[in-house]
Amino acid sequence: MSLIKVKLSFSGGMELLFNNIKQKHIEISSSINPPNATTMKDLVCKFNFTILIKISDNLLKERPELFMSGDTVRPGILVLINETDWELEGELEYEIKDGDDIVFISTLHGG
Amino acid sequence: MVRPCVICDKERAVVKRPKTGQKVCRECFYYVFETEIHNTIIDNKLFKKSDKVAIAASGGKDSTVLAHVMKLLNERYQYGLELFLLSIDEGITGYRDDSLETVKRNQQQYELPLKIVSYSELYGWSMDQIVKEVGLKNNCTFCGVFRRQALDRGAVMLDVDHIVTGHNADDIAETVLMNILRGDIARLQRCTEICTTGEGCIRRSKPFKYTYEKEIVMYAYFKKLDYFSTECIYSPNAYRGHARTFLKDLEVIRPSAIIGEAFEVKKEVKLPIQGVCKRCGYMSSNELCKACVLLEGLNRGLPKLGIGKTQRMRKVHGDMPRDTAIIPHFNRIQISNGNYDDSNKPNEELQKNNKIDQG
Amino acid sequence: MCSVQETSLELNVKTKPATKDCIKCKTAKATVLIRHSTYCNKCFQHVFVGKFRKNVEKSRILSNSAKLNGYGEKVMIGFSGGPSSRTMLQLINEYNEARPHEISKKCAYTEIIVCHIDESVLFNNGSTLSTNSKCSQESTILQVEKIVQKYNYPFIGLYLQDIFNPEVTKSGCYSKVLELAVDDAKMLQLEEDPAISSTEKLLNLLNNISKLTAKEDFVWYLKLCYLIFTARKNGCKRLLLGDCSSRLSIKIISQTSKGRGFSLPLETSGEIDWFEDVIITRPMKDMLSKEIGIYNQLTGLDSIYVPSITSMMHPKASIERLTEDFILRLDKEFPSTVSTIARTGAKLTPSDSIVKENRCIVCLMPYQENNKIWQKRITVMMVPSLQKSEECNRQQSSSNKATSYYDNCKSSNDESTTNVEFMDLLCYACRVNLNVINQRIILPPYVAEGVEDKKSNNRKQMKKQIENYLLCDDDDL
Repeated sequence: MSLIKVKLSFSGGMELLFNNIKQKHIEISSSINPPNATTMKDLVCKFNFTILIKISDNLLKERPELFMSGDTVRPGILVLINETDWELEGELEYEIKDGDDIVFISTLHGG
Repeated sequence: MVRPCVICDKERAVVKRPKTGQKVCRECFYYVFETEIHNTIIDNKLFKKSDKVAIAASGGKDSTVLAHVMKLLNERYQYGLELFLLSIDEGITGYRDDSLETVKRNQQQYELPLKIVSYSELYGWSMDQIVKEVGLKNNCTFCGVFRRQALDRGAVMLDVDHIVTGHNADDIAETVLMNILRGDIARLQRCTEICTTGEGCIRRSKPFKYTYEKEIVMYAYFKKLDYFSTECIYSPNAYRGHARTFLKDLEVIRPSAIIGEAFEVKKEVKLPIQGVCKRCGYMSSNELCKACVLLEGLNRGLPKLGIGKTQRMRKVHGDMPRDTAIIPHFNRIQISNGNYDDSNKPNEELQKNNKIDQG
Repeated sequence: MCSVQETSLELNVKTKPATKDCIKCKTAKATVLIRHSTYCNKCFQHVFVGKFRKNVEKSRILSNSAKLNGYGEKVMIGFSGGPSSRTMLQLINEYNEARPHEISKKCAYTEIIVCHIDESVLFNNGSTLSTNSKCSQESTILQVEKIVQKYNYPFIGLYLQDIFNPEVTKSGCYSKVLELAVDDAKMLQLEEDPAISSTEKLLNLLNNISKLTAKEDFVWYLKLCYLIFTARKNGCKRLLLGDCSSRLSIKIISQTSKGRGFSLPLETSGEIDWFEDVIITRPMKDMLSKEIGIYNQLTGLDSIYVPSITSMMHPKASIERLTEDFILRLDKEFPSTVSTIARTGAKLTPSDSIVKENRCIVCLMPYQENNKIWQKRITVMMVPSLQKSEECNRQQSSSNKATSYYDNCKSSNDESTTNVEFMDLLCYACRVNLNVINQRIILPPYVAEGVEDKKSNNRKQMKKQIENYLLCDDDDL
């Protein structure tokens, strides 16, 4: 079981959903999805419990609709993976690698 | 608790008006509902005395209430109009055949003459056949284009001056939104007009422009009007679905949303010049009207011809062969004399011009 | 109703980009996807800045004042501190500093001032406007000032509640406010009471407007009016606003939904001179919020987070929010949605029937003549036999008015009770907003001044009509 270290950043009002935390280094154990690689889908979906609990208290659980839409990120929230638009990286299918730098930026009015 | 009507303060309030939030009784609701439509008709000078007016009747709630209210107002305020019911039979089994039964009952109830014009008769194709040919993706395009022309053609057959349609405030809001979303500036400007003039100077207007769909349903419900309520079986596309959901949500937030004010288009923007279709004489901003192109596509087995890629398709497949069926020329439509139930009998004049191979 | 003529709906459904390379330089790996085009960082920034400059140049060429003087003008940047206005500030600065040898430099802006309106009052204690404790409650002025200091531009920091200041008026010293009663929509001009703070007045006003959509709409126009008055006061001929194309397309739909279709062209176009001496320019009008977000991230521009009343609320909390959610969702599936709407909006033009006199006294936007009569005609509220008695009731109720919440304000003189019905001076949308007030409210001096202007205008017009029949100049007229 290996650990992947990822840096997460939140801005543009996104941080409010995460208890005003702007940056957080997290470790994901591949046990989230054992046989395969860990993808953005795992990351996004697990925000509600696994990872989020580590970042802050269960804030997102109260307002998941402000971050999620269906099983993906709500339209109007930009995601950059290593300074690259995640839409070019396969969005939810992107396989997270050790040392990835993932940024969530809200472009929504007032967060 | 019995709540008195806020208007008369006597009767029990039975509805909360979506438009104003007022809690009113049945009679007061009827009165305000009808009067608003009357005001719309008068303020916009929709009719002249002794106009002949065709009510576009689909058997649905809007047109059923429209027929009822038009008859009622015509008598109450002595508009002096001669009213007709005009129905289009698109040829959709399990939908239109049922709703036409409703129209026929309305004809009896309101004692108005009825004329039914069918797609098969006009174009040689029923919607069922068209869907079989083009599938479910673009069928609404065909239906919409064909219906508009069919109404005008039916109006000429009836020799009326005016068509009224049951488009309500919600419909117009939806059309406004769709036109903004697809950037159709010409239609955006036209779609909020209460009255437009079409081919052969047949005016077309929407007395329900300021009437809410909800109130129309309430009115029909309380008056126990007989209408047919099923969505078309070949129902709309996803994009429009999004727009509808948005408008429903909007209505929850603010029930009065989108009874808006008019748009105007920049002077420099070139709006298409209205001309006449070379082939059938119907109004068109291009050499051929949309219906003619669509029909040609159907008849030649090239249904994509009318959907976006006309130029390219023409290059590949060449011009229309001379023996292809066309829509009867607009000018040559005959006025049917007094007999309004002739829809099922073949119209001789139409047959003559219509070289459709029925086989 | 069935869909009519769907053909022109050439939907650009989202598809996978054809190439992984930048479509511009064709060598570097693409890092950004804008609609259907892929760019590398460098080319993206180049295209982005280019679009901005083109817009600024265009607005300057159009501007007569720059031409006449052969010299630049004084402009004010409306700076919220949010991502879009942050980019605008940076790019305007680059534009103005760059290429001094070029001839066009001659007409660049001579003076740039930056103005920020702090809205933290909406989130402070005592305000029931926002249930959200997570939104920042501190003043944004300090944060914003820190950013602006990097540029050496004069900075004006204002508080939204100071819209009640007598200086925030056309004349610059109109000390009366306007009281609006709930029942009869009659209004009263009152001397301002210094004992009540601006904050109290503003919160009282907003708290008594019962719908979120209306509050949000109201706050927006208060801000806009404040910016315009401030630009004018500081001699700025031009006000630069940071609305981007995503924001504008949302506004086009939401304003239409609120019944503001009539004034829409004035509120969403790139350049508008409706406010006479202050031209509003929107140099960011062709940028998507996605582009702005990425640009700021790549260039390390620091923006601040500006909450709104509906921040952290459900996406369907107000018309504005619902529309935002709707448009962005649609744009995700059909990536040309935003730009199509924005282009449609750009083709709209103010109606010929717009006249400067028919200016709503609250939002300062034009209204349709007779819009109130029109609304009455299509919204019948009573049955004829009852109309008369109803009228009597109304008169009675207005004669024994409940004592005012602002009773301690002294009414200046009898003349202040006007016969002009307040609702007649509003546009359709503002009337809808104010239809749902819970209590007496007072409106800021600029609104009161608007009523006064209207009255004197009416008198002038009356005088003109009867001019020929007047025997001598009558001061009373």
